[in-house]
Amino acid sequence: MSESSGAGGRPKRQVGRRPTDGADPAVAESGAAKSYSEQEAESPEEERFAEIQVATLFGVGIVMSIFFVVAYLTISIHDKLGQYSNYALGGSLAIALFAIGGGFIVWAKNLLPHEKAIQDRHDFHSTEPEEIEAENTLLAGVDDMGLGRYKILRRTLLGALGLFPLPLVIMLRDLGPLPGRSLLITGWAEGKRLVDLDTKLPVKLGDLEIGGVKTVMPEGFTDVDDFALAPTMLIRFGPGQILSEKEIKLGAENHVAYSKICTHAGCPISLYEQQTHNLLCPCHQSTFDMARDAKVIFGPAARPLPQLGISVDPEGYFVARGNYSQAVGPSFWERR
Amino acid sequence: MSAPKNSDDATGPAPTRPENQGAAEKATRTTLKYVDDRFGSANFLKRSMDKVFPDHWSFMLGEIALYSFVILLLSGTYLTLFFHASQQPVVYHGSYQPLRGVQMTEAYASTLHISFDVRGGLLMRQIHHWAALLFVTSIVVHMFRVFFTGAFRKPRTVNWHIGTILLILGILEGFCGYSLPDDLLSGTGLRIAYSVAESIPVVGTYVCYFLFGAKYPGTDIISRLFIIHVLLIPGILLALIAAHMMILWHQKHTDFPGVGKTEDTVIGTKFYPGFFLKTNGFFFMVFGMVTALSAFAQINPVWLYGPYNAGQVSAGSQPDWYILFLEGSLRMMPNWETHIWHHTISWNILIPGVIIPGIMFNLIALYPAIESWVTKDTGYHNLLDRPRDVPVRTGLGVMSLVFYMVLVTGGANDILASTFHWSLQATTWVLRFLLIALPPLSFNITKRICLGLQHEDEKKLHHGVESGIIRRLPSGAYVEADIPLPADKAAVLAKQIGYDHGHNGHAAITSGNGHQAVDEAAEGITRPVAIAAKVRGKLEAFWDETRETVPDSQPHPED
Amino acid sequence: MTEVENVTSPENAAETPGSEAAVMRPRRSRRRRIASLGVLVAALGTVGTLYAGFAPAASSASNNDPAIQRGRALFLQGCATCHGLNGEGGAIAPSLIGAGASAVDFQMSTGRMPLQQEGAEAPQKRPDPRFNAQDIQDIAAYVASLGAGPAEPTNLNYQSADVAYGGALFRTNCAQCHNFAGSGGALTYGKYAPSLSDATPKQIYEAMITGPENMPVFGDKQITPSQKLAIINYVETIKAEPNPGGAGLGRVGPVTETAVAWLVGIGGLVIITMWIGSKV
Repeated sequence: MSESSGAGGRPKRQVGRRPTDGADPAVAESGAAKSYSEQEAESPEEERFAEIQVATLFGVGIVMSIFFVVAYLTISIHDKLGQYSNYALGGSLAIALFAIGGGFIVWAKNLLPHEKAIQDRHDFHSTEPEEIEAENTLLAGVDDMGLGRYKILRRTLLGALGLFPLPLVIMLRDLGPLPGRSLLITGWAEGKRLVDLDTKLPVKLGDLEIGGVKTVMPEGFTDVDDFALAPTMLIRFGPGQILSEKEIKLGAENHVAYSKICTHAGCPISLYEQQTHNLLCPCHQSTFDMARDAKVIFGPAARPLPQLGISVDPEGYFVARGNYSQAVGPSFWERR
Repeated sequence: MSAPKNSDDATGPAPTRPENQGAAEKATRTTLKYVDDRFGSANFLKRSMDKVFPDHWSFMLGEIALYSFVILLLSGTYLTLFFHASQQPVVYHGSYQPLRGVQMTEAYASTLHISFDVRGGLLMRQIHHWAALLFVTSIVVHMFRVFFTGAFRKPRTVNWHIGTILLILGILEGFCGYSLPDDLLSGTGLRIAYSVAESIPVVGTYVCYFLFGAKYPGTDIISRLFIIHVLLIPGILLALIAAHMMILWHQKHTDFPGVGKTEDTVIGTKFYPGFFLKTNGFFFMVFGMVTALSAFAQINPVWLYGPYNAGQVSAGSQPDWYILFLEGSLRMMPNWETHIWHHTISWNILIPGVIIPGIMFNLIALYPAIESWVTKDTGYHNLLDRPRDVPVRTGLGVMSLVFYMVLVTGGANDILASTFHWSLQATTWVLRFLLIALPPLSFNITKRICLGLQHEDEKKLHHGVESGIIRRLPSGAYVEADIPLPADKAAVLAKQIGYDHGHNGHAAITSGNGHQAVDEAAEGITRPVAIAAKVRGKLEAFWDETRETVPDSQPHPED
Repeated sequence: MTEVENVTSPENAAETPGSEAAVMRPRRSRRRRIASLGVLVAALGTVGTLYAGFAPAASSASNNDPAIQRGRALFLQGCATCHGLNGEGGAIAPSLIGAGASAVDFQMSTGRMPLQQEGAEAPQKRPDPRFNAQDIQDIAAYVASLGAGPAEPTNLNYQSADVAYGGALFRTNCAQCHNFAGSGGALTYGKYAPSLSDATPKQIYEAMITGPENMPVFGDKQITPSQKLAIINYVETIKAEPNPGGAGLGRVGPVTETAVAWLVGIGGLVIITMWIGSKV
């Protein structure tokens, strides 16, 4: 082993040979790391240059951190929605972080001694006698406790440990109500007017042009429970465009109402194409033919959208003939 | 453990404290002594500082995840100071004009407040979101590195399992956080998540009602997700990350095979000061990258999405990328549904939303066990495999990567269709086809490539590299002379190719996977076991049908 | 020229008597000329009156309008091949009778018409459609004269409309196809809802009232003119509004964010790890 003194008054370090295969016996015994150098240390000039590099980077970090504080205090968050603020704060912080990080890395790469260290790995398992001893201790304890002998104790212990989580689990019961029949209920009922989702005004015959579509809700909807399943689309067809007798029957004056909630995953669908009468779901692209009972023509949805029976009341407003005849929205176990 | 020794001078005399030292040094020594007197920590400290870490860039991928997590904790804590996890309806009166007067939940309103009325709030939100994307991304990249190099093998199987759980928790944590602002996009995502849970046979609706506290959407989900997002999952993540690191620390890092590299030693940089400086620097770099993205690339502009409303939806409703594979599988699934005995099983959600991710994560978790069962390799492995040396594993990895990427692409099929004006339906059909066709194809291609690279290596080692020098043989023929590899490169290559990974003293391992042969026939085995053994034998044969031997019979000018 | 044709193109009724008479003059005796002219005028007058009774009011009002004359000439030149000599439609193009000026202005000012190529969706041709603004005005006037349809919107004073209300209406009625920020989105079988980034307020208004291609029609009773202006104000506001968080990444949601996270985020950090891991 040769000795060389590091530049710049660093403590002496050993420069060793590159280790060959097989662990060095001395290292193996001690378990400590052993270092060796792979290349020459930097010259004083190189070292000086590296120091300036690192110092510059840290300096940028200082400047940018101060810039951040100044920007925080001076740049209004309300100019262009805070865009300037975001650029100034984010930009200065990012530069500060990159500079500090870069400083550390250049420091490590250029100013630390170029050493490699070698260290032993150890077997992860213990020696066999140690293993046996541990096993014996564990089993002897079991024996001391008498888990094999005291049968009643053992059974009641298992019972007690098995049942004590039960109170903790049962307490989760009140996290929510039981579903019951609530998934079949939507807030639509006989005679309820169809009202606009945004304005909450009732929809009159003639409000929609041919090829029009509108999102409607049951009159007086407020309940948050109604909200997920009640959204319905009212579509107006041209004369003779509806191709299903059943669909015509449930509709009124070439208007039909269908659930807006996809039968696949419950997204509100209303990407309606007025010429093809296709309706597309934006989430998973199920496609329904609205002129043919909302039949599924593409995508993962398995069932047509449920149709809501509608009629026109004497004042000319659209009203529901009743609730949907089947559960609205995605499938679930209890659904028939 | 033996007594602590100075690593630089293992055999030297006992160390002494120098006489004249500066105030800082004195203070340092005093502090260390104070701590050591109470905890006996000097030995531990010394060993820790001397801990050796191998140098390879790919070993830093996991650090990206670690540092992203630190950034997430910092930025997340800041956000909780302003965020109100409540679905209480309020009317917005903040400074974002296009939403003023709109009714929304407090969660959404407070998110707008952070974005437009808290200085640096938008930056912090974006830092949190970009860091979350990088967190999951780096976990995935890190896991692929571990997979392809075989770093998951004994003794590191438990750390692989912890990593798998970290991935799953990271995805869940991300999804909860993405849902918190209660905007139109995340609300749509939550609606789909609800539907996925609803599709579970028998208990689905109960799970939904207990989770949401009512029929969807209810009024509890945001506050429940909040506590899951800021306490429950981060707590588990923190504990598991600590365990992951401690196991890594204890078992020491793996390394690639090479000269001087053995199963029994680790070569690299000492933790202190070299690795310490570098890893600190890297933390700042990760933080800098996240901040730079947050300064110049807008993420999750919830003010444009609008508040959640069950009657509204936007085109191109996508989740964050780590959920995109689920979205893709939901989009590509055929519309199967079964109605039996007045009950509905909706396979169209159950399979892509529950069963496929279930199988995927289970396969990830079980893979180390499956591989060691097939290869009968139960040895310790501290040295890594080069991917080419284990063609079947590499093939399986590429195959699952391709499968996953097709799913992710499927999650963006509408964006692709509208960007390139493709037919949405045709895009989906092509992706359905690719999902089935590409994985086996990619397995075969990868395996071929690996074998080709092996062949190339053997040739290099045995015959050297082409020199460009043409020689004339005594017979008059011209040949190009191969020059042998330089000694150091040859040594590295020899190590890489022929390394005996097992501890069982195989003289020459042809398959490169260091398995231990066990004579099945010698053990009296019953019939079902025999079938399993047969399967195992076939699989093992498939696994080993790897290295092509290079015929060395040709006369060679150098010989 | 027959009377049947005159029925389908009423402006000819006014145009024909003079020209037809001038052609006949040299060949026939004065009395017969007057008699035949009288019969012709009577016949045309009857048909014209009958037509006026059935036809929408707008068409008969300004048949002599030079703009309509010019529009017709341009129509015959650029549109009639597909839409028929009198806008009656054909095998590949719909009838324009009753389409209205709004539809013409929308289709032509966005450059969708004249159609460049057949496909699932008519591609736009911006910024310069084939016909200039004046030509489009005239053709629109001509098509409007064929039968009543939605007229071009005149009051487009949208700046004073309630932007937040417009946003809510936009999310209910528009965002599902055009995306939350009007960036556009895919429809079925190759059709797509276009981005609104190039659409003018007038074009947005026209699209709502005419329902071009597969877009639903949003009539004035369904979405009132003031609601339409609110929607337009919202669209124009978010179009003009900066992206406070940096580059907007196309405003299409998480897909582009994914690409940035992988390519810039992880890609950049991997390069940094390589720098840290390198020897020098």
